[in-house]
Amino acid sequence: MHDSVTDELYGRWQTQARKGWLEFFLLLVLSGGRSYGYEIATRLREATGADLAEGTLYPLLKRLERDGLVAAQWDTETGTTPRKYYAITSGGAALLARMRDEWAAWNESVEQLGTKE
Amino acid sequence: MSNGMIQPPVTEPEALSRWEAFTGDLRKRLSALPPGDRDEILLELSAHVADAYQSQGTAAAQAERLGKAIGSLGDPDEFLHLWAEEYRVENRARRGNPAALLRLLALRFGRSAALSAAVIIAGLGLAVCLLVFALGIYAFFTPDAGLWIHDQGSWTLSFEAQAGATQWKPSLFPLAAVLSSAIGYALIVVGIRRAPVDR
Repeated sequence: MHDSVTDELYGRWQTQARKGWLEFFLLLVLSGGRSYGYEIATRLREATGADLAEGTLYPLLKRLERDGLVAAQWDTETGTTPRKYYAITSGGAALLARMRDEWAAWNESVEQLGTKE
Repeated sequence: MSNGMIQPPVTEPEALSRWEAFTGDLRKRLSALPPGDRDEILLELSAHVADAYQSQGTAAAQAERLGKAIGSLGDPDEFLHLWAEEYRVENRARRGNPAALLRLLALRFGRSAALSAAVIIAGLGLAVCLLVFALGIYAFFTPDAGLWIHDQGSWTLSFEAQAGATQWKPSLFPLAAVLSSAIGYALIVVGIRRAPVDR
């Protein structure tokens, strides 16, 4: 059972944590192949169960694009919905590899810190 | 697609009215962005809403489904604030803010051969301008500093008089430096303003 203070603190921590993880998760999704906004949001929602404000993904994707971590291209094939597809670049893949290492190190640290001697 | 946006297949008046209100509000809030960028954001967000709408089946009323689809984007204040943040650097650079300009050039450097070449040329040009400017200032205190042209046509930048060479009007150095710096800077600012944004 949680009291309201714990809920509030947890909510604040969760929001901050998700903000920090989001770039990592976006690059992870794109490492599986090019994708567009709604599809990325759906995959994130299904994988994390998070109630994501999906509109916030687009400015983040724009920043990743501006920083050269993803490349974007509009697909405007006649008869289909125009979609902006994002694909991870070599720079993005290199950053993702470092993020994966960091993630693994964090997990290990959490296990160690949470284990009593 | 209408007005550069992708409209979900809604036909009921309440849903159409909700769609108009949503798109009108977005257009108004994004009006400060460059038109091309604003239209691209609207197109992408409306495609998202159209996809979210169609993923819900047909059991509920159109207005309710559209409301959920729009709601999937989250609080407009939140995501539009992020867009504004994203364009802050871009806009400052477009207005000629030197720090933002340098940051943008650094970020875009390497994205295309033409831009990289332009940045290198502009950088070298500005370095020469700075050198000439420094030399011009120095020439106020040391009259011998400046460009010395030899009889054979060769020249030397020197702080000391060169035997058998003629000094090239050092008093014009500051003016030439300021003018060339201003022209170089203006060219970069105009180039950034006219450059399509990340497309």
